[in-house]
Amino acid sequence: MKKNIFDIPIEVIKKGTKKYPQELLDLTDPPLELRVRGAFDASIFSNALAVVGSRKMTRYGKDLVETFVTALSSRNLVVISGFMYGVDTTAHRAAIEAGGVTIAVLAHGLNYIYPSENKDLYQLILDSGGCLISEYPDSFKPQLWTYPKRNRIVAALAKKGTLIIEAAEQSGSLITASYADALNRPLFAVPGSVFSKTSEGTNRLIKDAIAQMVLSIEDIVPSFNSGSDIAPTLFEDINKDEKALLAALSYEEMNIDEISMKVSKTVTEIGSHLTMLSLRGMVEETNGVYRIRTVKKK
Amino acid sequence: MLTTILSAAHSGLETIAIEVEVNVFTKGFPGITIIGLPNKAIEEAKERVKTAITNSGFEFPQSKIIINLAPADIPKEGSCYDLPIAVGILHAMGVVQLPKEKSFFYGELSLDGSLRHTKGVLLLALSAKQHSVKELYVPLPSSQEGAVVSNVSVFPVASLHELVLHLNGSKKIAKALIKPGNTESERLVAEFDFNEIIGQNHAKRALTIAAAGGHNLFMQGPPGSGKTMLARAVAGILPPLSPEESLEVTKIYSVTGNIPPGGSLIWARPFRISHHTTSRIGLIGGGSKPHPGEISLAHCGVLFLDEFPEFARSTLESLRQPMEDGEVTVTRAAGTLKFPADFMLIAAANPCPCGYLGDPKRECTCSPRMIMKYQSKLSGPLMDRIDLHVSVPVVEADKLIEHKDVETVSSAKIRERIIKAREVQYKRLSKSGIYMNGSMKNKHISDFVQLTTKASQLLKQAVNAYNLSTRTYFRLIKVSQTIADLEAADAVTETHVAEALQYRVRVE
Repeated sequence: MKKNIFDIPIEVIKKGTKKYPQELLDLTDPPLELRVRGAFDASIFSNALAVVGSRKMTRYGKDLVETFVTALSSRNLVVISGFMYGVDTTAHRAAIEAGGVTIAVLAHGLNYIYPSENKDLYQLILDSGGCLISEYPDSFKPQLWTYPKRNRIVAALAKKGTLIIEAAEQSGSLITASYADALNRPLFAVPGSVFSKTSEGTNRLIKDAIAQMVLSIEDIVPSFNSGSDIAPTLFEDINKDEKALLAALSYEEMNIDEISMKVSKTVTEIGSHLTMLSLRGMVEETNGVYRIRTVKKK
Repeated sequence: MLTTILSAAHSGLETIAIEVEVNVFTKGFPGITIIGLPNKAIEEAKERVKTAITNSGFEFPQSKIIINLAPADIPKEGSCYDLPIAVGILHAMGVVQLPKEKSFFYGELSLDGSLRHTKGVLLLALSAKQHSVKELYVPLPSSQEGAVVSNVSVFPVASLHELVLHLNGSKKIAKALIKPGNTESERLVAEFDFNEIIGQNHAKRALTIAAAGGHNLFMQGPPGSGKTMLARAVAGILPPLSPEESLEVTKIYSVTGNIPPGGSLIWARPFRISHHTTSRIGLIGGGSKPHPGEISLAHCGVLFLDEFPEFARSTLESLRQPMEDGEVTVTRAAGTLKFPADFMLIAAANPCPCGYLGDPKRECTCSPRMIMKYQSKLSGPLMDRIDLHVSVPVVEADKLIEHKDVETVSSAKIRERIIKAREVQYKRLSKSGIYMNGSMKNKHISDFVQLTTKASQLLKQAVNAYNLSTRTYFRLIKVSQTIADLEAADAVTETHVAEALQYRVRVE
């Protein structure tokens, strides 16, 4: 039988001890003790970046998180996030999938899981060599005020800075941003559509010059090698019709009816081409909308 | 004096012969008693029969009458025993002679002595041979149902008085003959034509494939994208029923009283729409005296369930067995019954409770938990049983003005194509007792489907790439076969498979 994750011992790290992360001392109100489950090493925070964002992430946000976190993990950066659904969860998962280390800072005790569907993620973080951190008693349930409090720890621990992906106005991510700003940690934000509610916060951070605008991974970490993470578009071994589809999709994502109108072919004709292209990993589809594939899957 | 008249009871789609024994006593207080587990409708037959006999100009006996419905241990219901009881009483009185041939009497009486439309006449006629019955006396409005069965004489009875004259030989009733009907004129008239619906060619193509092969289809899209309109338009592209199918459908409609007076065989393919408040028994069938539900009424036709996730989970899950088997087994304390339920399911759903998840223009207001709960109703085994999955996007008006539709085809044209594709399937499959690709079992697939080498390679590749279940794998083959049949192709090629993959189940 599988061991209960709550049986795994918790380490208590008191302020003032050697193991206590020095990064937290930058805070005006550093936590008196940290409770940790999993592998903990205070030296890794100098190489950690926080990735936070909207709970209600759009497809665009998901693509961003997966692209950036995969790249960060492959550059051996530790990804810190808040274990919440949306961007947080995606960031943790992407880091683990890329073989990286990820740390979750919880807004509740370690013997409590919220959201409950993240139970497997809790286990995955432990299995992949990451850890979960909380400043609250083990059975403490999340409260409205614990989330902003937790954010100060996220911002402080991430010495390399905080990357914000999709944040609405007055969202929790902006609280993390203001902490990072106050702590003089680098603050990065990825711009989004000006029509999207979940990009209002990030776009304003960029406009007000509080955050640095990030367009590619090189804007966060200068690249060691020029190896691109974007799948190269190989236009070989593709027939004429498929080429036309890829060309049409390279401007914007479209559903099959729109593609059909754009290339003036019936849905029956283009349907099989689209399947072939997606089987080859060149396009991807969600809810009937096709786009050129950007995130390279293993 | 004791008289025995033959009538019938229906249990599911089976017909049981019932002997109606009428004894008119010479002694005792006047009154009628009916025994043999009658329900309230039969109890009330006393008053109808008494009044009908009097109003037909005959005298009702002022004596004690006992009526026994044998076999006595089967519960009986319905109003069809009015006629046998009346005939029995009249014969006991010596007013009327019984026919020489073994005959069924069946029908409800009106107080004026005329006969009313009664359900279940087709089943009665079909069972006549089995009970070696030669003649059938049924109400005139229902006689066309019985007339379709050969080797049995169906006498359309307009009134009790007319029947007495006939049986006594003074004025014969003519046997009912089938009115030559134009099957094409009985086509289901759809509310919408496919060419009235702008855009949505992907969804239209999927519906065409679904209708051609009798495949189940699931549509997902935001409100206003036209899911309901598309589904309702399907009625206009369905091919007519084959004679075998027609008989099967008419049976169910006859026993549930869904055939209008004067109606006969049904040629239009059923198109049933169920609202999400439909109870489980209403949908599946059942009840203490089991009767067919909506899925059986949609046999050989289409069952459209709009707002699919709003249905109770237990209702949705109970669809699984009938969808797999093409029939539904209803087991009650009183016994087990089977109803045919080989229907094509069209289900429609919003992507989330508010409906705007993934919509480019409108913000979704649902919490992730709400979305998860909503979609969990759609996941798993039920979705696995649906062959075609389509997302129906909102059509943006400006995009439509900008570009011309690549293809607009009328329902009539699509229907022609479907009829042709069905003929191809019928030729291939009818020997094994099924009519459509959608009804193929795995055994049929290996017997009938010819995949080219490239096609099966592509299938295997897709199974690995998309993590498809074995069930989905076989569904893909069925859909590919239908796509091939629409082109009248000899074998299933990789192009067909590739298109079929467009409609596979999506699991996030």
